[in-house]
Amino acid sequence: MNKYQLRVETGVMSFWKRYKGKPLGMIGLIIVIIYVFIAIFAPFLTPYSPKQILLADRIAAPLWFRYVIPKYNNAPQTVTIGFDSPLYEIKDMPVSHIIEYNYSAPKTFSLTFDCWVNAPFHSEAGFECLIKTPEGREYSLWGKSYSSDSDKQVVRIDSRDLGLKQRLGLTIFEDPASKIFSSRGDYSLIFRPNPGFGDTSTRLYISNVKLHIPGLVHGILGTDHMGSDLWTQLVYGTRISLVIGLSAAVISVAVGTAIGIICGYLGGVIDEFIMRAVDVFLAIPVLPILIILGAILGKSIWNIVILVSAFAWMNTARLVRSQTLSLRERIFIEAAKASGGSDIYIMSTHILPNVLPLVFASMVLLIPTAILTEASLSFLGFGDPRVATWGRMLHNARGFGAFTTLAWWWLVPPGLAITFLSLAFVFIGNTINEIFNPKYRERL
Amino acid sequence: MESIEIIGGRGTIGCKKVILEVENLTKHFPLRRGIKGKLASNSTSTVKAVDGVSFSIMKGEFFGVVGESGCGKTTMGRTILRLLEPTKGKIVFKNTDLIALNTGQLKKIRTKMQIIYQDPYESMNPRLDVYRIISEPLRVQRIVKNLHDAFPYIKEVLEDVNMVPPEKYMTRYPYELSGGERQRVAIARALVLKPDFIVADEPVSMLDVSTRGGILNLMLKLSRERGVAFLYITHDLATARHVCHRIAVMYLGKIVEKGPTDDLVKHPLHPYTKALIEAVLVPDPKKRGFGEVLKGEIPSPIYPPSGCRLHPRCPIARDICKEVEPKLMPVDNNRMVACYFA
Repeated sequence: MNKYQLRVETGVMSFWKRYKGKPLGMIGLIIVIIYVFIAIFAPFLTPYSPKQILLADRIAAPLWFRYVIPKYNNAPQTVTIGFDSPLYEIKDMPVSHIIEYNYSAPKTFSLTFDCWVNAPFHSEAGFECLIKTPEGREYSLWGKSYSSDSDKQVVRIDSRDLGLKQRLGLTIFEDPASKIFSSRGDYSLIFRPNPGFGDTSTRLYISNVKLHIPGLVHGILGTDHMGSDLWTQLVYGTRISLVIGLSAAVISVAVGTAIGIICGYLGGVIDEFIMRAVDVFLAIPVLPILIILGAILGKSIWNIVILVSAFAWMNTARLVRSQTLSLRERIFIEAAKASGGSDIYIMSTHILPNVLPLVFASMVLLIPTAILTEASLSFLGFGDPRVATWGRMLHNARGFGAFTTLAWWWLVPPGLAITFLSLAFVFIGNTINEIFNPKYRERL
Repeated sequence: MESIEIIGGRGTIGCKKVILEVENLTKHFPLRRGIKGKLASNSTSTVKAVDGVSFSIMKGEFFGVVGESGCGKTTMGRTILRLLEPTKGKIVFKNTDLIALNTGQLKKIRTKMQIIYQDPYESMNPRLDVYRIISEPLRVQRIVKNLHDAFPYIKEVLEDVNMVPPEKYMTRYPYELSGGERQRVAIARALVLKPDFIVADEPVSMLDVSTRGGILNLMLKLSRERGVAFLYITHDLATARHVCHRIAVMYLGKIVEKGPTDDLVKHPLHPYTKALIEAVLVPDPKKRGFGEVLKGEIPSPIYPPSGCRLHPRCPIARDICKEVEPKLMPVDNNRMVACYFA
């Protein structure tokens, strides 16, 4: 039987031989292969997870802007300094940490730490937290006095906080971050006890110190409004788009083919009934229905797949039915009947293989439809909010100021990604059509 | 390569065992009409493709059915195999009433009756190779479990139809074969189940003249060696007279004349048979053109003429022909004819 395998291989080879000759088909194939590669190796292409936030300031520009656009020459990258251990006791104080800062002024910064005190009654214990600039100026960010033991307290200092501005003697329109980090050099973060704090029985503990100065440039494509990495979202969005596109296309084409063959071959009341149902489905405006059903069924990727396929099988069904109608009158079908072949046997062995080329091409052409439908739904805010998709990126870009800040690096990449992937599948689909179904060549 | 000379198939057949008996077989196709038409009236007009046909075929016999295109001979062949459901009538095949059979029983009996089609380009799935095409009946009938087991059957049957070496042809696809080779594959496919009866629906009319002889000889050999009965449907009296033991002439869904080939060809009784024989080209330069040709076209089978169906075209028609339909009446020597003036 090895000869048979050989024949099958030559069939595939001859298809490939003809496919190779079509430049558009090859371009499409290469693009799809690149996308698949990106989807598979997503974790290796980016160090972050799409759910990670606060990687940089909101709507940070791409890192490479520093080398291209003069305005961004010294734009700050994210600086994070944290010390978990050891616990600092007041007897070691003052404690100071050096922060190297070699960029232009950031827009914000934040500082968090935990502290608690073991102090005898009526003692005067207190400390302050301050930043010392390279020029020697000191900015006291926080201070507190204790007269007894305290529980563990989490301190959060944010540069946009009005209390901080008041403490620093700034107006509400001034920005502490740009004021403090206005020059380059070695800054110090200092925890200093209040004067007169000498009681040796007093213990002050500080831990989990974290100073975060979000950068204004970050990664390959910058960040979104949450400080989440856009390149990561784009890369992981490829996975979602491919999964949705492929599974929705496979499901809808499988359903459409089965229905088309059954209707076309059996005919009669079943055919009439299902084809009228197809007419009804075709007349329904898809997007509004998807929005309503999506709202009812809940936002999840698989719901979208099911919904998209539920409204995409009709064209395949019609196409397959018409092909089946002509096939069932062919004599080789009757010959199979004359040998005793049952309806199911004839449908699966004779009709299905003969409609497959048609089905295959229409399946590839359905993938971009599914991808675009998912992107539209996500763009309108009906996608799964837990998952980073291209449509969702666009939704966020529209809703959180990419247009007003002209952050094109946020808007353009997902748009281009959708466009190229869809286009690639259309190229492939049309090429397959051209090879398998020369009659449909005019579709191009 | 293929011989043009045909081994004569005529002569009386020794065995008198009836293998197939058709009685008053009728097939009417209802005309498709819209919902409105269905509601409007109960009387449905039908295409009377086959209208009360009776005959019987012996074991190993080559029975020819001759007629113009559109006379219902192909429909008759398909109805006999119950590929179409008959409207009326009785088909008894090997003492079994085919019309009474259910799907399962019918499937079983299909191993014993097969069909060869006119168009060898159409009768095979273009996506299957010869091996798969021929093994299909075996697999459908569960005679073999898988493709692999069918090998000895296919080798044998390909040798039977003179496609040697069989291994060379097994992996070919229909488009890689010539018309004659395809028709051989079609015959092999019909033979693989070792049937007792084959409907050959114009098996050579699509083939080159040079190939026809080979195919006909092959069929004759099979009928002689294995006792396979053939219902040979054709519009070509010339080939029919060479291979058939008996011939029935059909006109507009009815048999008008029936009898042993030699008698019928040499002494045609029915005017329609005469016209058919006249229409056969004779390789004689002195006899140019056709003899007496029937005037007019074949009438519509939806509204067949009253009385004798041939009367509008018949040269010897009289008033009685328009009113009363002549019955198929026995004449001498196994012959039957449906004409008042035969």
